[in-house]
Amino acid sequence: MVDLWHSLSAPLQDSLLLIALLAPLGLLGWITIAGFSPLPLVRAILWRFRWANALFVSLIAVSVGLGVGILAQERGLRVGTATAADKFDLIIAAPGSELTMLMAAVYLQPSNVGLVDGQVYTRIAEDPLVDLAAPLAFGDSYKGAPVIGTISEFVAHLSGTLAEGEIWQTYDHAVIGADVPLSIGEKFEPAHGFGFAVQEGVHGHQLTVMGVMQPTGSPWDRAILVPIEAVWETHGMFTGHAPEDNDHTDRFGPPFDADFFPGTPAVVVRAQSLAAAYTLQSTFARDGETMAFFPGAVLAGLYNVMGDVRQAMSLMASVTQILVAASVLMGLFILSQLFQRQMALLQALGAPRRFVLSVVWLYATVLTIAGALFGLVVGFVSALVLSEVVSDRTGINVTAQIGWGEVHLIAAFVLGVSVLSLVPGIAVLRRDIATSLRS
Amino acid sequence: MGPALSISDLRVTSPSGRSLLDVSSLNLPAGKTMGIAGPSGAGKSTLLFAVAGLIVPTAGRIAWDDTVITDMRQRARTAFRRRSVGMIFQDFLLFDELGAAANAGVSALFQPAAKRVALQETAETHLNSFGLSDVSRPVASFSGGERQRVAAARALAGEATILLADEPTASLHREAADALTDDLLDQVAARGMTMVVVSHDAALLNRMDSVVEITDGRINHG
Repeated sequence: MVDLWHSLSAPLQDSLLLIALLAPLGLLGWITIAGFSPLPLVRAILWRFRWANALFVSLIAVSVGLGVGILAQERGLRVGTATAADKFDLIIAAPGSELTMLMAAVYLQPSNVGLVDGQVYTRIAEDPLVDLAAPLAFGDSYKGAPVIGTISEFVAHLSGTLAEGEIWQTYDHAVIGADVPLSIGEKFEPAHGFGFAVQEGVHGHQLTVMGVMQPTGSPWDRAILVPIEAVWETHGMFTGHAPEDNDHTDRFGPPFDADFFPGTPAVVVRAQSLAAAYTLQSTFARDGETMAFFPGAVLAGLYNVMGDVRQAMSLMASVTQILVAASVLMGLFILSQLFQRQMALLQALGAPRRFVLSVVWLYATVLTIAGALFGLVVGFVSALVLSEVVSDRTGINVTAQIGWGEVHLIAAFVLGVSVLSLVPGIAVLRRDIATSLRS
Repeated sequence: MGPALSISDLRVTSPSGRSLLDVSSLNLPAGKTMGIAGPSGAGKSTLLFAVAGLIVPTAGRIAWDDTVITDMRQRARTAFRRRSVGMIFQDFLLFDELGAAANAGVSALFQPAAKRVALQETAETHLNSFGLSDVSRPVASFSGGERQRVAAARALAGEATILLADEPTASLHREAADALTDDLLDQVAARGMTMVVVSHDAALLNRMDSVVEITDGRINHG
């Protein structure tokens, strides 16, 4: 049986789980309502206490929406960060924290890290298993956008063909990410540093925007990319090429001269193949001079931690749903008091107990389903807003989508509350009819 | 013809043990009408609810012909009311959002599907005979007299042979009360129903075949 279940496709498993959650609801409805026609009375009660009902539905919607929003947002963040790291197969850097380097190289978060020297870089770049070895240079910014020095091959690796314009031809040229608020031909002067530590007018070096990259869904969409030689030169260092070879017009990128290579905090490597990537990682992780890691693996470790957080959040969402269900139950008790006389009247007229139960149950279930569906919308909208905020702050393209997990959560909630809704129905039946008629 | 009512040694006490009703004997012949009078809190409504099977007495026997409702379980008493009893209440107890026809035919909602249409048609016939023509309008907009007519149509919509009414004219002005009394008694007479009415309304009580007065839960036969 377990094998059969695992042999099914994920969408089929999700669909079957949803059916398994909704089927008892249908069965409960059939057992409660079959043979009766309680809908006109339920409609009347819904309309009569419309404001109380609207408040009740809103409370359910907000609480369900919170649970849905948190789960959808967490998944969107996971997918977004993974997508942003897609182009970073292997990173080789000076020994230190892989996570810090990941944040610096992939997500462009400012950090102090050691440098890889020219000999090591040359060894990486000349390894026959390496297809691309792109050095990165951080440190400058323009109006909050990081200015990153690299090589033109890395721009092509990130963007493919440019969305607009062309790659740099001199050290005064720049290519911008898709979200940088500059346009082709615009000139700007980068500041030294980033964030609060920024120092304007230090470099006195004007750059001209020559090209715009395709959107990548990563923080690189907000980055300004320049020849790495320009960054080194601006900071008073060698340009990676022997001085006699220095020529602003034709000396770009590798090969670099190891003796004149100022150092790079990270080298982004694209290997010839997957197997080559593992070999390279193994080689450069063991040599003691460098650390080499797969961003995907570091993210996987991070997701494990996030997975714990996700479990904690799921638990919190579930506990919240249970508390909401308990509140709903209390609310239903209160609401059922409002139409206690009408239910007593039905009994006085000879209505079977199951009919009275069907009215209360259907009323409660309609409110719950309405609240849950409204909650789905609230959850989606809140996840959408949160995604916008996170995307805006990090540059990572976080997309909020409602997944099966949220649908299952809602279905389980509706089922749970609909079962619990029998309790106020039974409570209504247990009240003394004569007393209720006189109340 | 409606059944005869027979009550003997009936006692109803409150949960605290206070005596609410103590009736040694009370009989109403089949197809007759009886008024129950008395001051407020004397036990009139308690007696009415007891004969409807809505109150389980502490002791005693209540029978409609051979049907001893005090020996019945709740499910059977409910089925008895559904089959045989029509009830009218002082403050109408209608679903304000529903139309007159839906209110009068509310019992159809819990009847077997085969009976629903017939019951609804009977309800509308009664509404029409009571002078109510706009039967789809929500009853919230009806006058007190019109609302009580809807309640009366509801009580008469089924095949009830017993009509129990608790202060049916109390919320109505004189003219509306008299009109309702006429309508009700016409229907009761036409169907040979047995009717028990709790009321302070002397005009209504005067038209009953018999009247009993309750004081402090005990009956003074009139």
